[in-house]
Amino acid sequence: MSGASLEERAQSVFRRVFDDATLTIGRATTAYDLEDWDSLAHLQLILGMEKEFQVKITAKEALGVRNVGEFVDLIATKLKGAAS
Amino acid sequence: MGFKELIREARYTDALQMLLEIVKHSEDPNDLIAVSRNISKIPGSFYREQGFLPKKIAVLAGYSCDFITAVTRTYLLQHKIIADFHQTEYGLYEQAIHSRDKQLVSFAPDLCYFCVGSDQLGFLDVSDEIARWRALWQSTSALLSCDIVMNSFEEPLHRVFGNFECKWQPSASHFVRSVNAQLAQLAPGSVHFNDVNFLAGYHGRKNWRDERLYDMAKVPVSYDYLSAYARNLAAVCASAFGRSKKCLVLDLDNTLWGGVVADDGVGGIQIGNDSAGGEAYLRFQSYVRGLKDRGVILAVCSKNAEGLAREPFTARAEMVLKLEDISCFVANWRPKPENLVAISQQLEIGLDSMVFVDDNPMERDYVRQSLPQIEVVELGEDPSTYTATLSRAHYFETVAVTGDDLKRTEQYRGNSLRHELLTTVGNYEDFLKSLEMKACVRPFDLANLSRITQLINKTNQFNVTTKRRTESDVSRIVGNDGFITAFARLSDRFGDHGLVSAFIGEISSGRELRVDTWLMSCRVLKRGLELFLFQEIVRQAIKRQLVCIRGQYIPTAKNQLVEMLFEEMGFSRDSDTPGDGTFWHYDLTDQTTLHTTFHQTLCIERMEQAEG
Repeated sequence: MSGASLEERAQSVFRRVFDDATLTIGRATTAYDLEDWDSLAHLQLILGMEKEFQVKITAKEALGVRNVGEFVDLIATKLKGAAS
Repeated sequence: MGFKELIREARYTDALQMLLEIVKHSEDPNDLIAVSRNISKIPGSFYREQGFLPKKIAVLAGYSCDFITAVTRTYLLQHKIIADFHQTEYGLYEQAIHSRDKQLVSFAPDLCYFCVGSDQLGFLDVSDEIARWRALWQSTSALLSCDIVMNSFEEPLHRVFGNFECKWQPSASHFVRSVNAQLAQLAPGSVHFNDVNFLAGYHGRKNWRDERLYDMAKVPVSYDYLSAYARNLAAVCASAFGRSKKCLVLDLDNTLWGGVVADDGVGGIQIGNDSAGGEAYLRFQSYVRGLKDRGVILAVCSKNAEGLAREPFTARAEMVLKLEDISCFVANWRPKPENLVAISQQLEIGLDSMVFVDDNPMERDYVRQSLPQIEVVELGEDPSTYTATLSRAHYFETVAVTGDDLKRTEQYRGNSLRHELLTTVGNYEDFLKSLEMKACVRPFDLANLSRITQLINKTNQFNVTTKRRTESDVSRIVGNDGFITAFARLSDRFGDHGLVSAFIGEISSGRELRVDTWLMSCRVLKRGLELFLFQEIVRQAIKRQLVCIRGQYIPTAKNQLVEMLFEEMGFSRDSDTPGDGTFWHYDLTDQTTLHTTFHQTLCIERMEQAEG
């Protein structure tokens, strides 16, 4: 996975959660665009991202995320924090 | 090819295989939840054709249970159970029962699972707490008449009193331990535990619970251990539904001891606490011996000269396992799959009841490919890990231990001795006489409920209808006037077989007895016990002034053995009947029929009092 960008890795998490190998997401994709993005799927996404990027997301952060862009930014911040 | 394409082309065998591969190799809940969603894309009829048990499980939710049910469903698939779940609203586990929730009742579950934990405890008075759960069990049984699986309560993560909680009775740790201990003691046979407290300790309490996930979504277990939780729960449910293994088949060299007896000599192999290697094998043997003591049948399957293979058992005092612990010992140079089939025939148990342990990956692979019904244990290279690998796989989960379990090895060893006797006696009737068999037939009673239920759920071959029942189901038939029930015990001069046969007949209008269940353990085949039991049924039926016994043979993949049972017992076949299998009737008013039933040679003596 080392060569893949953050967005690509996030997309692979989305694909696995929604069990759709061809799913394409953009920064503006929200729960309204994906029919199966319910509260349970949201949890799966959070937990899947944590595992993929080896970061910990708090309950407050998890509930604050509204679209793919915010997801990616949150992880980017977390990764930067971990690196410094 | 992907799963979706396989479904589209109706290649269900491959599609199912694909799902099962994921369940076997991935512990990632996201993978397993995806599998769970796909399970129902394969039609139910396909699962039934493949011998899967359809079961309905009601989840009474103290927590948010969606993840748990989804993942548990995937593990039940490994036990050949296709489960349908119904969840109550979060937190309403108690109200749903006491208010007789309509949806719950109409779901008519085969099993109720209480997904509860320490978060549902009151931490005030232990006896009040016990009374509350017992009342819930009783109301559940009364409302739904099914077995119950309930979590044990996990000990708290944070100790207000610190180490002092060990001895301070009002503390939370103390409270939880008392509740667990007392509930375990008071639980009737129809209540089984999913031992979450053990799991939390095993995996480490700190990591077991993800407090953030609990805060966010009321999920009681961290995502990392969700699969461990669900695997454990599935094993308990499967065991309640009678899906456990019966026999452990063991390789010898580098499995039961270190080294190769043919190369290193009987003195050179490693076993015992004088070396690190020997210690690991000792631990493994002790665990296996423990399994044998509780009723798991042991067999040996080794590529060796037989004399040499047996030598360590007698020559090395450090061996925990003895020859008499092994019900069937096979050592030769034939391929292992062939020997495993021979073992299954000799012990008269199905291949799908067997678990195979071998350190050699090639042998494992060979067996897995030739006999997919057999469970093959994926042993690691280090013998220190053998015990952990076998124990965490849950092959031999049980929901009851009966007196018969504890005597099983003797019974199966007796079978081998009897085979030897047959070769020296020659005439079969003389052979049967020489066995000096004694049997008794009695109606179902509560004392034998566990064993009867176990037999109903485990017997595959001598079983005319293969109807499964939980302990609660059977208990409702005990002493019920609408039924004629019977179980049989058999002993002979080689040992006591215990309770080996069961019969349930339902009395219907028109003074007829409909055979609902008739089964017998295969280790007592061809001894006349079926006739012995049937004579008793006929006597009872006449006493109750019935006029006819009706039987139905429902064929399965395994019960061909009893295809002609009704004919052998003097039934006549009905012509042109709808539905599954064949239909038969036995005229209780016909003297010729009765004469043939009661004037056949039986080499079984009546035993007056059933013991145990």
